[in-house]
Amino acid sequence: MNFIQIQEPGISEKKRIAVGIDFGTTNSLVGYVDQDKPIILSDEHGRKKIPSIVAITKKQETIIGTKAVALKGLDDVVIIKSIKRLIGKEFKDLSDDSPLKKMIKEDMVFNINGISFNVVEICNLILKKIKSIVGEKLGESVADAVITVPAYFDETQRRAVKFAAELAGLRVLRVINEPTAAALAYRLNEISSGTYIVYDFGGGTFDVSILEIYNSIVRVVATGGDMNLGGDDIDLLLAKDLLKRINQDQFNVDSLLDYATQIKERLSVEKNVNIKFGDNILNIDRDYFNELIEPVIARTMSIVSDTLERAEISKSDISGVILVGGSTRINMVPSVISNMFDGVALHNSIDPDEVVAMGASIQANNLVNTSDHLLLDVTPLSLGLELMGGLNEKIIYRNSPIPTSMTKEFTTYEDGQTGLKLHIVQGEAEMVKECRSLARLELLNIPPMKAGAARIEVKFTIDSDGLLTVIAREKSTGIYQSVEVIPTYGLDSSTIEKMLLESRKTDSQEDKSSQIEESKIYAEELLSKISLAISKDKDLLSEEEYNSIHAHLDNLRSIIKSDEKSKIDSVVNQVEESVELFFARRNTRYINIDSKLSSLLN
Amino acid sequence: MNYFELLGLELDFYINQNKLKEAYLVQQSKYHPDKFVNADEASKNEALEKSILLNKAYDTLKSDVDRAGYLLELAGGKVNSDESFVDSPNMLFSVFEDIEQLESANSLVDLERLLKIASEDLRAYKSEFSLSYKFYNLIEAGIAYKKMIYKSKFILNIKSNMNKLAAVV
Repeated sequence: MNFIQIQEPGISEKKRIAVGIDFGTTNSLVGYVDQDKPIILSDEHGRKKIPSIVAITKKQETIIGTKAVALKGLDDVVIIKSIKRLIGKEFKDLSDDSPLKKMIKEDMVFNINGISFNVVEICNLILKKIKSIVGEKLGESVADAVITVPAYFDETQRRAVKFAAELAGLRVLRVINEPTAAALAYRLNEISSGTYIVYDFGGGTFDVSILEIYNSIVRVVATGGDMNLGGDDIDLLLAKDLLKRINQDQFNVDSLLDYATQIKERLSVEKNVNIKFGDNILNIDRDYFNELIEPVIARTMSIVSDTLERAEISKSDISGVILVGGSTRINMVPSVISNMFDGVALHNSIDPDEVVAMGASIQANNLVNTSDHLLLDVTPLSLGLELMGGLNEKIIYRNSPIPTSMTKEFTTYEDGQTGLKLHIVQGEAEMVKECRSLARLELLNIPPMKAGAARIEVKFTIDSDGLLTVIAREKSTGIYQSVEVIPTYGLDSSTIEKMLLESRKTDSQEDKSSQIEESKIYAEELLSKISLAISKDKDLLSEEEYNSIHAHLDNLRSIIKSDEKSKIDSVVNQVEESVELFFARRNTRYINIDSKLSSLLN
Repeated sequence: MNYFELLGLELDFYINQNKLKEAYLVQQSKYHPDKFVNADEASKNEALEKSILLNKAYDTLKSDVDRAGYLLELAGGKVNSDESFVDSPNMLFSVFEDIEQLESANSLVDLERLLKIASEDLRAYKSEFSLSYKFYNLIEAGIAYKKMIYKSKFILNIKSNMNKLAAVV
């Protein structure tokens, strides 16, 4: 197809659509850009915030999003929420307070109503739901996506999210950081050149980014954060306090969590809240609440200070603070920030729940359609190798602008040594055991040499998604050998294999329908382009040619309703042949006009 | 092409930071992989390599210490930054003095005074480096470079003590 240029002269090509996805702890949102404006899509219930919740019924059905919330409390339904907090984690990392810890086994697999799911599979279910909303609203063929992650997410967690999205049939153009996405949304109309802090306090994570904006360029200078600090922790703190105060046997921390969330949300509007527990009525006012959560807020502020210090930027350089994430609705947050930065401008006009998805949509649009805008990001955590004695030798330092690469040379320490084991880690600690272990790779078949004679070059490369590749080779003898790190997403290789196979199975069905969809879209565009061209340049056609083209177009209009891809494609080909001469004549006409114009202008 | 040529700057220790940043941003706007999302694999890889080089160049040149080290490397002077520079008794003495002063500085005022002196020392080492480098005295330049590394780290220590003190207050 498409062997003739049926571009309308002087009219730019139709904009390509790519979506931006905010895969959140509590809610997920998806949007796209229409006429320079980011628009958030709604699900079938008209809701933009799609709860990141999966419900699994006794009949082994999985229900995701708004509907899943409605099933809460039913006896034979198990609800999984805040799954994002488990991404890339090991069982021993989970806090005993985590409601999910009671549901998951030590190998990080859920076994619910007779089916088992790993963490990536649960994420995949939510992202599939998002993909289906995109299909519903924008067409099945839209698959290009930018997906956001907390700035402080490490390598394993980034890869896991990307993998879950790809399994859901999305083509991930970029993985970008949530605070940066938020800045892009504000960049659109509210903030101009300067240095800004993005304070991103969500349901499960806290992130801070410092960025500089120069006209159309957004450059991240430094990031910091805590992956285990969010609104969930405030709910938990409050629930524990409530339990102490009501002192009734019928309640436990889990059953009080929903009350805690409610109280927290109401206190961001009301000064005090009365809530009935059994026979007790409890009054909680804002001051009491603020005192309770003060340690959490103080922790976020100390992360802000540390990040500024690392970037060697002083408080007085800051032009404004952008507030992102539902937890910034807590009354205390803006006032504490305002205090720390002597009343600097606070930006919170965009709904903090939507701002990340809007920014992701803007970036997605910038990537697929030509634009002046550019986003320059950094790597949040240092990457290194384990040295003898368990020391962490950093190869790429945190806050290095990405993409980047770094090469280091190592050697053997024993005569005749033919192999070398490399252990790749991520983190700031001096000792490897306190860092995240990313991969182990082994360089084999080094020719036997004296200790210290081999020259082993290890190259770390971080691409623009912040993802790492490591290549090691022995080069003293001219024998090159490369080993590449295989991403594991925190899963073992047989699990990954199985998931890929299953996704291909479903993909092939979905693929078929999306291919028909693509053919139809192409045919419809062809029809409208030809009709437009004929209405403008009918004089280039003889009556006979005109009638013949019309017959072909009518034929295409009727066949388009069929669901047979091969039929549509073959009629499309006939139509293209029938208009070939006509479009050739038109091109000559417009080229002549163009050259006349340019000779006049010069 | 070295980092200075890549970013259109003259080979010198003292550079105009604004010019550096501007050159970096202009070039990165052309070569960043985000501009090549729809391109073929070969163009994508070429852009990735170029973008990596620009990031490394900018990261190296924007820091006084790293820029000095890079100039030495270009000039063929071999400097191992991990190696101790404290070979002269004078320098050894001044390091001990620094440590003692930092330990006894218990107030913000003391620390600020210390920071001011250290910053002046650092500035002196920089001009020492610049002069030696200009006259191709690579040995002297190497020593000045090591002094710069030491003093920069010392300044970071002062600042971190200041922050600790500010957090308590």
